[in-house]
This record gives sequence, structure tokens and C-alpha cells, in this order.
Amino acid sequence: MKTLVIIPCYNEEENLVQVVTRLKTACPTVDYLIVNDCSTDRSREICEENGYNYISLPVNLGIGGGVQSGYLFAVERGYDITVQIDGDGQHDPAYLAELLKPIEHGELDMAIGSRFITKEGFQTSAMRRVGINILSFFIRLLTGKRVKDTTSGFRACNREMTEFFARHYAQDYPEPEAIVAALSAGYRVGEVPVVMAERMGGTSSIHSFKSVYYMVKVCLALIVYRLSFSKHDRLR
Amino acid sequence: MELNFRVALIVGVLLYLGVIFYLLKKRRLGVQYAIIWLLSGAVLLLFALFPYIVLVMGDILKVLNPVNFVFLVILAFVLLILLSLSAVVSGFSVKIKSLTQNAALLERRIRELEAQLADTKKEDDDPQDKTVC
Repeated sequence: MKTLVIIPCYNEEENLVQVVTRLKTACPTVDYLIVNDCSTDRSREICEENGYNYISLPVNLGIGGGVQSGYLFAVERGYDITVQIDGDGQHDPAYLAELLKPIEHGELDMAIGSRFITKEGFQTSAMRRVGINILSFFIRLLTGKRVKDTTSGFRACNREMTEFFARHYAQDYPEPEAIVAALSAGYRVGEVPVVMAERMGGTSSIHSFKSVYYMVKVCLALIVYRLSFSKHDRLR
Repeated sequence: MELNFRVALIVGVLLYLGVIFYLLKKRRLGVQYAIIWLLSGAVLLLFALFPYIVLVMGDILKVLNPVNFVFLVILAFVLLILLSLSAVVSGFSVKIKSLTQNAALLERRIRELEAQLADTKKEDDDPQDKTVC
């Protein structure tokens, strides 16, 4: 099946080459697309010099708008499966095959790579885990579905899910919101165990994760998403 | 309401309406956004011209001083206008996002087409290819 890996990239000059090289060696058959979200460092030049596949946003949209551009591209070019993988190197492309399995077999519409099932590898800081667990509880409350790694940006979607995300995708911290939107619209979402590493270089985009503001905003967004999406929004 | 307050209100509202019409005439304010501003001005003018409305409404709502009712209405308008502005801004941000994404996809298409064009030009320049054709 035609598979596209979306690599959102904002100021990832330190990691980009390694991420793409690892992906190319681990999965030579899949296509990839770097979405350069108006980086202020040399990310774009690196893409150009190495002849990478990339698109470059003229205005910084944030991770949500960036990833959504990738989904739009996938729809435009008719890909069967779309995968997102972080541009900071914390997701190992070796697990891509595992992530794709439930999608290829038609068991799930969206598969999330979860670091909390086998509890191996980098488990992130205690504060973040608390936040992730609160979100997990909240998502269960709203949708009845248990998702452990709510903020994982390592996920695979089938064609229908891709088309849905090309139309509706949250902007700021979109991972938990996307889960609620997908579940509310009646898509099948599940988790696949993966091992994640600590990011290789640079700084994470969610440095304000500890802040109460983030949690309040996300929780509110989740409620809004639960209210605004129903099974009618499911495409086809 | 005291006469002084009424006169001040009338003068103020007339100035306010004057500015709105001036901006409309200069096309620096869209009609769709001006409606609520005009409406607020009209209501305040009505209050100043016919204070009886304010007295009755103040009685019904049991406000201590009828003037407070005027302030209440002004505040309500301010909230409404602010909310509508937030809605407008949200609409814009969705549009900007779409435009940005589209521009990026189109830019990539141009790059691809340019690369294709460069390839075909190379082939045309290469005489060996021509004999094959």
C-alpha cells in the first residue's frame, strides 16, 4: 500500500538528517514528506541541499497546521496510509511496520504508537506523565475509550482517517484533540506498543507542558471537540 | 436622568455615530461589522431622547439609579461586540491557515514542475536521445 510518512519540522536542523536517514534505511519502500513549518534555522536549506521531499509553509502555523498540510498532501496524491513521526528523532522508524499492521489489516482507522504499554524506553518526566494520565482519564470520560499515550505524535491513519484529518485538525497541541475528534466521529482508534527515545537535540515544542494553562486549554478543547463532532461527520 | 447627563449623552452619541458614518463613507469599516456599532448608537440615542424608557426599565430591574441601566446596556453592547470580534478573528485564522497550507502545496508543485521541465530540456539537448526517438 502507498504509504506517506509526514515529518513535521520546526527548527530541527540538528535532527533532520538523522531522522530522514534512519527512516530511509528502516523503511525504504515508504514515501516521506517533511513539513517545514517556517523554521528560522537552516531546516529548509538542509532539505534543499539533500534533495529531500519537503513542503515549506510560508507562515508558521504550529504543529497542528503543519501536520494537516501533510494530510492535505496525502489526499492530493492519493496515499492509502499516512503516518506522522516527530522531527526530533524520538520515534524509531523500526517500529513503523508494527504501527502499520493494524491499519493494513483494516482493524483500526488510527493506530497510535504508545510508550506506556510495554513501558520500555524513555518514559518522559513524571510531570508530563501526570498530564498525559489526566488527559487519558478525560478522553475516557468523554468517549469511553482508553488511550494511554494521549500525546504521542507517532500515529498511522488509513485513507478515510487521513481525509477526515485533512478537513478537521486542531491547531495548537493537536494530539489529544485528534483522538477525541476521531473517536467522536466513530473511527476506530487503538494503540500499538513502541519504544521511544529522548529527543536527540534541540528543544521540545511543548515546553510549557507543566503549565496549568496547557491542561485547561486542552481539556476545554477536548470538550468542544466531543460536542462538535458526531458520527454524522464521518466521511462516507 | 438629569438633563445635563441627557445632553452629554446626546452629544456623545451624535459624535459617535458621526465617526461610524465617516469610517463607513471612507470604506474603512465594513458594513457587516458596522451594523452592531450603529445599533448600539441608535439605542443610546433613544435612551437620551426618551428617558422614560430608562426609568421604566430601571424600575423593572430594580436598579438603584436609572442611569445604571444605561451603563448596563452599554456594557452589554461592549461584550457583544468583543465576542463578535473574537468570532471574526477565529474565522480569519482558519482562512489564513488554509491559505498557508495551499501556498505550501502549490510551491511544491512548482518545484516539481520546474524539475520536470529541466529534465525534458536536458533530454532535448542530448542528441543520443533524439536518435532513439
